Amino acid sequence: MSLLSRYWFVSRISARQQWAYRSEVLVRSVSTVLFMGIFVALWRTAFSVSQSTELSGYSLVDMLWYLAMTETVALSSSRAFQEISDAVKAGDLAYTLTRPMAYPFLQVANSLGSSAPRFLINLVTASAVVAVGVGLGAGSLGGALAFLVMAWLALLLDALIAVLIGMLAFWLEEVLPIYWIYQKLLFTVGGLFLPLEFFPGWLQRLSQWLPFRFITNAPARAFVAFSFAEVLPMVAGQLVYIGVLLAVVSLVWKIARRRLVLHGG
Amino acid sequence: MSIITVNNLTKVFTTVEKQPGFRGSLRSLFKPQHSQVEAVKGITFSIADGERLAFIGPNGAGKSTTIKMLVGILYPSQGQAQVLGKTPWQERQALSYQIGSVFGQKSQLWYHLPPADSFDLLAHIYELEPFAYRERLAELVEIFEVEPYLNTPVRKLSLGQRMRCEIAASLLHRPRILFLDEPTIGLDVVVKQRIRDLILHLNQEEGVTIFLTSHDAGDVEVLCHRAMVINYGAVIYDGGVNDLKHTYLRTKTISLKLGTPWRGFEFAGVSLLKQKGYGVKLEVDTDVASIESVMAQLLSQYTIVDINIDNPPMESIIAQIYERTPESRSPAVSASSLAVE
Repeated sequence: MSLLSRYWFVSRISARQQWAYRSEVLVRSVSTVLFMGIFVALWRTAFSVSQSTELSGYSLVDMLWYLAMTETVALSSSRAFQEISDAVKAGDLAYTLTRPMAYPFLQVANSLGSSAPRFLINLVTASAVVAVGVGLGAGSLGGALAFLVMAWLALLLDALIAVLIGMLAFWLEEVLPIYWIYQKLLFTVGGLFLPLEFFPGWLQRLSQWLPFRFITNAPARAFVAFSFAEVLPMVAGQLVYIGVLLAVVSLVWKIARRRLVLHGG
Repeated sequence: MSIITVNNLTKVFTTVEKQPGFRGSLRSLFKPQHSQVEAVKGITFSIADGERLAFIGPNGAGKSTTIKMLVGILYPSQGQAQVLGKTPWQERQALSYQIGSVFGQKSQLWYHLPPADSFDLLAHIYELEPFAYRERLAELVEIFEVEPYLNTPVRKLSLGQRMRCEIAASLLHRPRILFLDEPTIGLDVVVKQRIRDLILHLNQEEGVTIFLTSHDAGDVEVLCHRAMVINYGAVIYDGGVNDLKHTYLRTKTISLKLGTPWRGFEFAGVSLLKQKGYGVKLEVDTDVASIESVMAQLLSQYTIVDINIDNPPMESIIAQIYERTPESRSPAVSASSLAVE
């Protein structure tokens, strides 16, 4: 228990440090307003052109609330890959490595903490734009609660992936291209821009089993179409992937530690 | 009792050499040229509990690499080390409860938060009992006089204030060994002195063993009683700080106040540094001439009112060590290129 409480404390302090950047996050949320504004205009047009009230089971309001939720998670996602690869390059691991904690999980806790304030601000901004654009009319209390739980699991999963990418810096000079690939996978098979239901059958089936949909699609889907039958398997999927990544991250770290070459003397 | 023992510790870094230009990039992609750099070459030493050791050497001598192996961050290529009875790179986490480290050029405090928050976090990380922690914190706050800025965000502190907080942070968990890597870098003279006093206090009051690297001769001279000089990955001197002077010192200066006017002085190994009126400053190369023979000759030629014989400052001794050409030793950077198929 005391072990977890240490990570919890790291998250808390990291959230407070991030809070110091709140004005910067607020300024950045201008782009959230812009994104969501474009989505509102785009889907209004799409629905009016198709002259139907539902596309692949989504109404206009559902669709936009779905996008507000995927964007909220995506914009609050981890930057641990950057932090780790910078630290590896600059040889700044000296302090963090001499702590009685496992470095990658310290970074996960760190990342979750710094995601929290951004998540709150993004959630408020994206919801506000969509509410003004198309009104409330989507989601439910159950959906909202499921979203909060699943978004947290999604951010944990995302942080683990980001830490894994960051640790590749022990082998690669530059990890940013790897992150871009991951990000594009979230955009597509993660259902960030389009719900999985819009995909052709084979891609839909494939996406369902990949980890990416558990980060962006799953929490948003739970919000707009809440049912236990659909939510429970998604939460289970999140937990399975979190478990797998915990193991992979520990293993990679074990190998990485041995080849650690600290730069800068 | 030895608190640190190091036996034949060696670290070889393998780096990929890249030829300039695009062709070079392609070549290094398909047929990488590896070169090996021996950063630390089989060093052996031991440190007793409560010692204050200065670990000195020029940039790239292998100081940091050695420290990083001793705190368990780096795996050595060869050799053994025991720190408090543990092998650092195998028992890093267990060891981390008993050692502290301060890296002068890095920070462990959260930049936007007050030091008090960073202290709280460290107390959690090191699993300190709340009561024991508060007591320890109060003690360190008093010693380091950081009370006034305990609740000021770190970004608003001066370098000296921050450094005091950094060291205090490293001591919360009562480490038995404190590794300090350039703790006074960038500080002004007064603050430097203050930091030195604090480190000395820790050693004397709490018996903390001090392992310090520094480029500052003052740190070495004021803080430490033992010095180890490392260059090209090998230990070239290990002994008392005072003896360091005798070993490396090949000159002494003699300052004289004469009773009679200066008429010159011819003596092998003696050169005139300065002469103004009745005041004269001579440099003696003690390899060539003994101080006694120079003194005897001077006394026979002049009436002497006042005399001072000085060692050059620590600064120039260290400079002298660094400048020593490695001809007698094999250079550490033996770029033996190994083409890997």
